[in-house]
Amino acid sequence: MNTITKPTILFVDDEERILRSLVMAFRAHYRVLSATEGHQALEMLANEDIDVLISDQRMPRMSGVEVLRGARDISPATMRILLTGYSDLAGIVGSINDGEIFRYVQKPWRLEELRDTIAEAAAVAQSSRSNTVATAVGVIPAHAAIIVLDRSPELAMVLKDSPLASRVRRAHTLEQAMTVMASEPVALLITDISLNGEDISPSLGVLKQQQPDLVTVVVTAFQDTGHLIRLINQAQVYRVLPRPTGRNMFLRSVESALKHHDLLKKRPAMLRRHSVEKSRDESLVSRIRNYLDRVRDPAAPVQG
Amino acid sequence: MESGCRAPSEAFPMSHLPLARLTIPVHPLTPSIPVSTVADLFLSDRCRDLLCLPIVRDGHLVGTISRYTIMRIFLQHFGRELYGQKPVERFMNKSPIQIEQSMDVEEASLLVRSTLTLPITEDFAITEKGRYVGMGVVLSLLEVMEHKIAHRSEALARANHQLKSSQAQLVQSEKMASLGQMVAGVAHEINTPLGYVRNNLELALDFMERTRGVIDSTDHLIETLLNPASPESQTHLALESAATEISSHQQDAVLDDMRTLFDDSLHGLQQITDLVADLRNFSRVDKSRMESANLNDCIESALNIGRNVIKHKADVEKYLADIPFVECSASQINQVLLNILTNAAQAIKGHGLISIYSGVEDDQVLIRICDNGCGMPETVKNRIFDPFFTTKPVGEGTGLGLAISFQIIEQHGGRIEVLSRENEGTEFRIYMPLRKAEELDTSQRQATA
Repeated sequence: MNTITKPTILFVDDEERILRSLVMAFRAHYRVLSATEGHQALEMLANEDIDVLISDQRMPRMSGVEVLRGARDISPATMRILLTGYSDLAGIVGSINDGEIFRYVQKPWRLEELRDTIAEAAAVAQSSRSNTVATAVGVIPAHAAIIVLDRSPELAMVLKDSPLASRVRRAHTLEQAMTVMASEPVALLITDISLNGEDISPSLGVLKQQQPDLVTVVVTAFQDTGHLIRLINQAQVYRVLPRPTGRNMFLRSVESALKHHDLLKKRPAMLRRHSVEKSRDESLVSRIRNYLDRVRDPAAPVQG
Repeated sequence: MESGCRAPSEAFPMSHLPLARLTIPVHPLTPSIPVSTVADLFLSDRCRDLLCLPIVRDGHLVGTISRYTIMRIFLQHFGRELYGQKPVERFMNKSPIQIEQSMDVEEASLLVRSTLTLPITEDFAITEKGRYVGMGVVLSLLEVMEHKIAHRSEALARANHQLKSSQAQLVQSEKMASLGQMVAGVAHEINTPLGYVRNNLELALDFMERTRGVIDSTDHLIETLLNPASPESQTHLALESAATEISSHQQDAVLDDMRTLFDDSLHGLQQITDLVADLRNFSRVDKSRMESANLNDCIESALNIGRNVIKHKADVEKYLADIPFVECSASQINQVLLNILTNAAQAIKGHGLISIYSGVEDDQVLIRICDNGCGMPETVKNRIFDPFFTTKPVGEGTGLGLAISFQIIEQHGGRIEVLSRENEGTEFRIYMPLRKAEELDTSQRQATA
């Protein structure tokens, strides 16, 4: 393979043996760079075109989340992946809100899966590199709806007091939310992970698959690291906020989420940057697809 | 009114009031009774045990007359002749010790104790709502008190025992709490070597598959060459395929790296082995047993377990001298060291330095753990070994870590000191006595158990 056409990937880890092992595994198909430390990594990102950045979280001096946040500013086109053996809540929330990462991979990883993930990220990076010109498609609805899927009213109340009031739709169940999604353009879904005592994170993933430009903000008191990791990899959640959440923090996140949605609309190539792992639960996918089809077109035949 | 005494054995029937049980129903004297009659009464067997007799008018105690007073009268020249017929009223103690029957024993003894003078010449009168009911003897009050104290010290011993066992529980639960925090960190420490060991194995597997391709194609080539019947075209084909396999195999240059790959993997496995051993050393739940241990090893163990907390806060510099073994419970010393190291890391804002020294000073091993963190003011420093004192936010520290560390080192016959300067850093010094195993008596072993 020609060196010039090989995508460039950068691994950051303070353990050199990890780097050695990863370099060996990927050098056949990529130009592989490595750094043992965050500042060094950021310098590389500033000087070279790097398609995928894969960083460890716990490192001396600069944490993985800090590296990823820095990378977002220095080299926004680079796809960001966290590869870590330490799943602390703050790190995961940071990797979502600050790092805006593509995938969260846990150590020890499976080589085959890591190869697939990096290949996918590299393909996205290369395609968005060649599509940097904004290409507006169709009419961007400036007032796409904001669904607040939550039983308690406080989040909707905060929005009702803001200039966004006219765009807010409240829903108490996933079905109500999907009905809104089928009847008008929706920019943003604000929800808890747990709804009426049920974990709806798998559904969030399917919804993202159905409508890739849907931006999700999760407000939750729920603190399970496994769930949050799934929210990244399978639902590409845009922000996770603690519950109860501060009014200003919430409004800031909603504004930023709406901007992000506009960006996705303007640059469809961006959508791939936020593609999710395919849900393994096929029955859930088909049930949700079926439901959306039905509410969109009542004449459609009902499938089992 | 008839005057006289009863023997103490004929006391009132048992009552729920302890003072009622002490009451001797002594028949009181009238104020006008002559002194010589009183003297005769004192000589009688019935009043043998009494120091004084009550004098009552209309049911109310007006005074007491003591054996001692009578003796003083009669010891004077012509005392009996001069005063024998005088009414006792003239000589009586007009403010006798008077105790309500409903008082509890302690209150009563306090009152008796405060009015009594030496030598003891008086008993005390017992009243019920101000009316005289009988006499009480100081000695029997003492007996009751003695009994009560014995009972109380028994309860005290029991409470002490309970306290000790709950303290052992506290030590254990603090250990579990800090261990819980550590486990997440250690999981990361294990996941890192697991990460590359697994990756290396998968690479080796890949490589093995491709090597099989090379061997197969080479085999095929040899077969073809050795077979005189093979047409030339087939030989060419076999040659070409073998060359392709070999060159693709060489292109990845994996063979050259195989050595490193396996060396790294073995290193990783060793690291996991060490971590597991450290974890086990640290968490031993069985009663800590004394053993000969090298405190430098304890330092390494604590550093390994705490690395995850420490490494992203500080560089660690070690200056470990060759120190003799120390008789101690290694798991407890690990706990102390880990606690101090974790505190040191937490005291550092940004990235700092932790220096660890070991050495011998006189007949002790000295370990110094210094950080260049935020330090602490005198007021905090004076309290850090107090149980439940913590400067950490709720939920982050139990406030027991250093209190328990202090206790552990003390039980080992050592001591722990702290030096600190605000914004400059903190230094902990642990002194452990250098003693041979035989010198540690069994009581000390039990104390640390």
